[in-house]
Amino acid sequence: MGFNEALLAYRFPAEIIYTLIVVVSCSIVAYKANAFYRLSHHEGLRHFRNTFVYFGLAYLVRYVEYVVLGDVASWMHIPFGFLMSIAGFSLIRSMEWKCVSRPWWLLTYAIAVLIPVLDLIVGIPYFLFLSQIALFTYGVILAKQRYQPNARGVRQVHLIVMVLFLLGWIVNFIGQMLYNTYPVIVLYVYVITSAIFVLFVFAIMRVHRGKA
Amino acid sequence: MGKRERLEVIFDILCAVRDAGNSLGPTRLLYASNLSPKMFKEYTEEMVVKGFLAEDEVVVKKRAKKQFQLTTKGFQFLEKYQEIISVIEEFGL
Repeated sequence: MGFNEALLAYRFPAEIIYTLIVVVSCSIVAYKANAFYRLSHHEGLRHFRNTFVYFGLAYLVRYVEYVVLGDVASWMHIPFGFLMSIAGFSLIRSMEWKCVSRPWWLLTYAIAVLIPVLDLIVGIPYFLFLSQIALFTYGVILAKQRYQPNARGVRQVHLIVMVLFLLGWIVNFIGQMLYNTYPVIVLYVYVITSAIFVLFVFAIMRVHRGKA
Repeated sequence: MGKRERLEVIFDILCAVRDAGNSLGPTRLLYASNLSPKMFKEYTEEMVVKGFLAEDEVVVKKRAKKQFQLTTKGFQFLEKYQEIISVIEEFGL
């Protein structure tokens, strides 16, 4: 059995571990962000906390969709696609909360519903992938504009995180296209995605301990 | 000096009350906060509603005077302020 075959043989245990890593990471970040929000009532922190609640729920729904039901084009893609989309929008909103008015935010909810519906009609989640790639490209530009290379004592992980999220979605998209010829690619996607969420945990834990 | 962010103003107000022995009247707090009277009223009302400050009345020379005091949440905010600011800067919020 080759390396790739061995990896695929462990696909389902890997799914469980992957879901656990992401959901636990999201819970930790959401819990810490909530503690900071309750003290400060800062709008950016509220949207940041909501982002990880949505991501955590999305990965739980994903587990049911892909592992329990095992049908990619099932109706479960609608809540999954909605939660993933709205999590992406919330992360951008946490950075742009001063500029995003309520009508625009309501529009993002409508778009977040529309994306998985279109995916379901087409049968392949291209709309979700492409919309997230576009969203995080904007996120990278936004984070780059705010990045202050000479800021002392602050690592400004938002730029790294945005770049990693963008790379994660690009790899996800490529993985989706190459799945039939190179199925092991999904496992690499899991590793990259897990690393992004674990990075969030380390970043917020480090701040929480006052080492920033 | 540039425009202070909302959290910085809250921090300054809470610090002023704490440094005065956790009891400070509105006039002295207004001077310490370096805000306009209108902004000061808005901030202190919001901080009382959100539980950072408590209003109390003390009798001095037979006259009741309003005093601001820090609540437990106010003390916690001061303790965690640097961490909150770090999270906001780290994640570009």
